[in-house]
Amino acid sequence: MDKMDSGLLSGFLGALSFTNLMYCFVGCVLGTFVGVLPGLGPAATSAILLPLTTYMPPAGAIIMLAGIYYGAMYGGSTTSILVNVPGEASSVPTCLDGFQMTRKGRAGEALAIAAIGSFIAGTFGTIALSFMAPALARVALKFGPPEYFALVLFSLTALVGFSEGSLLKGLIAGGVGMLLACVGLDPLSGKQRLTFGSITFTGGMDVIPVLMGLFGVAEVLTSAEEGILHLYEGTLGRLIPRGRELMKGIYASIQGTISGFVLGLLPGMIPAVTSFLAYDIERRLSKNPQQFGTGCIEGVAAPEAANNATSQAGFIPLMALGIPTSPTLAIMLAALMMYGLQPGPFLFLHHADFAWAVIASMYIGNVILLILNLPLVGLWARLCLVPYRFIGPVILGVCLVGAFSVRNRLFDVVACVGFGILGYLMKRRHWPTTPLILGIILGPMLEQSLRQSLELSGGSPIILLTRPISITLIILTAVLLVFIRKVLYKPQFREAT
Amino acid sequence: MYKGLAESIVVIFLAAMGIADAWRLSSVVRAGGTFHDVIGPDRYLGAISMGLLLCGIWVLAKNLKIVRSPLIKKEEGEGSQVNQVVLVVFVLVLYAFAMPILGYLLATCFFFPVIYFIFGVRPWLKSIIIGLLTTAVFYAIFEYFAEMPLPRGLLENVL
Repeated sequence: MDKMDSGLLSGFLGALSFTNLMYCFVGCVLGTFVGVLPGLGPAATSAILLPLTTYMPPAGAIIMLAGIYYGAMYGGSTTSILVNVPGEASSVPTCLDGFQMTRKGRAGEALAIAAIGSFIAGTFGTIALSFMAPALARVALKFGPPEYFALVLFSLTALVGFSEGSLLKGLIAGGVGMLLACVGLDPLSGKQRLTFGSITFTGGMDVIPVLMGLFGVAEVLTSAEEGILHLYEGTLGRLIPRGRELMKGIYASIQGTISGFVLGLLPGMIPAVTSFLAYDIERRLSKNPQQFGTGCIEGVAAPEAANNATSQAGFIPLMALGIPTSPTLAIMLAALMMYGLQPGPFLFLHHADFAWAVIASMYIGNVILLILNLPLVGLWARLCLVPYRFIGPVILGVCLVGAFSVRNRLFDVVACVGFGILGYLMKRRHWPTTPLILGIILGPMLEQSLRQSLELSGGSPIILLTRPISITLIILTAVLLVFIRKVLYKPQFREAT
Repeated sequence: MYKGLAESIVVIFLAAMGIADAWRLSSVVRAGGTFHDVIGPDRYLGAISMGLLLCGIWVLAKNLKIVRSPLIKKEEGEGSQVNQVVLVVFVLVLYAFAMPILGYLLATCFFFPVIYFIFGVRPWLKSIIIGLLTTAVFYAIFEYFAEMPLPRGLLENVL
């Protein structure tokens, strides 16, 4: 506890330095901007900005990327409420009651409760992160290769299972990602794999051009035709809800926070899923479920709180175990690895100042976002009027130069364009892109931990089944697979969600 | 046209490449009988590739059943969207290959006006002005602020 106090205190000292404060502010502003803007999400933005962060100090870069992630959760509600167009997939359920509130002249109250709910969830999530991540990291210190293998296997299964599209397509995309991760030199034996004698491939597939192609270029290609024509031009009405309405909103925010946070600890439970589940839970628990969809304040507060709580909860497995639970966190994992900072139990031991500065910045970021999203909400709403024809080319330009800048290789630019085309085709044909990228990032971790485990046991796979943590995780993986196959992929369930 | 045929062929092709390379590696590393890594660089690759092959065949077989279902009609305006995407992709590829020859600055001076025009900025003059302004901003940010070693190409001796 004392260690945590001193860690958090030193974290605040680091986060409150002028440079880190600026990166936090920039991240929050960018996050709100991409949250407001339909067609551009935090994953794409983080991927696009990833090469630029190589020129920043590690703490500043991660503080900024984290700000983009949770900032987007705040911004996503603005257009959902004002124009019935979600800025983010996680704000889709907010449209249901948010826009109805706008039609009743209560847009201001809806925007305010979305910001208040997000703030409650964000702050709760950060407090929980401060306590849980170091504690989990201490437990994870006992993890050896078999435990890591089981953990990565569980995460990959969950991430593939919960991704959009069919399970088979998810498996194939994940498999292709793992295959692509094999290109280059085998890290343990030094043998060339899938290089076919080409020197270009010996360096392997750098994850940044792949991310920029799949999330940046592909996003532009698919979003080129999208745009918002009409912005709500009525009055916002009263900005802060009063009395019973405020209490109802805060109560729903707390419920949304709890459900979003608990679910957010699981791999694959991205904010887009948990906000829907939180909305559904809130409706089921409500005394007046028939009011949902007609403009009730709980229908805005619960999903908005849930998506923020989920985004915050995802940092716990990322920082303590090195396991990303969503595409944006996978990009953050890539960023950490780029800096030579291996997320996981040793992060709090060897880079404690860095880890605590990032956590402390989240407290500050949530305050910045509350200020940005309450008084300045009108300004953000106008941003969605910027036509995509001006934004699209800029994103493309950043992606290409970003891909080049990592290793100064033309191959990476071509790879970025190639993966952009692949991502576009996958989206058009309803193939999930998330398992592909997670296969590339988690594949090598899976292989390495498996090979090290078998090395330890002299080649016997029994080692994976004799250690309590690894056997538990393997059983959980099997249960999860059955659940995915039997429940998630039933047509009735998919239609309902 | 079989639905899903192209995807399954791509998956099977990738899997075949993986299996071939795993086979090659296996014959190289395990030839002398002194290699003790149970998985090695070959078996992990081989296992993933085999899994992919099975999935690819499954997709192919699954879609062969619905081969006679009517093709999905194209939505209105879909053709023009695809044309725009094809044009954007063409310009992107051209830009990627032109960058090391012309240099970042010159290649980008051509890239942005053209891409703005494709995205619908009209008239030409407007797309040229906005394109050149964007190029200047990008160059200033990446070259001077971020200090990235951008390719200079033809302007090697000028810049």
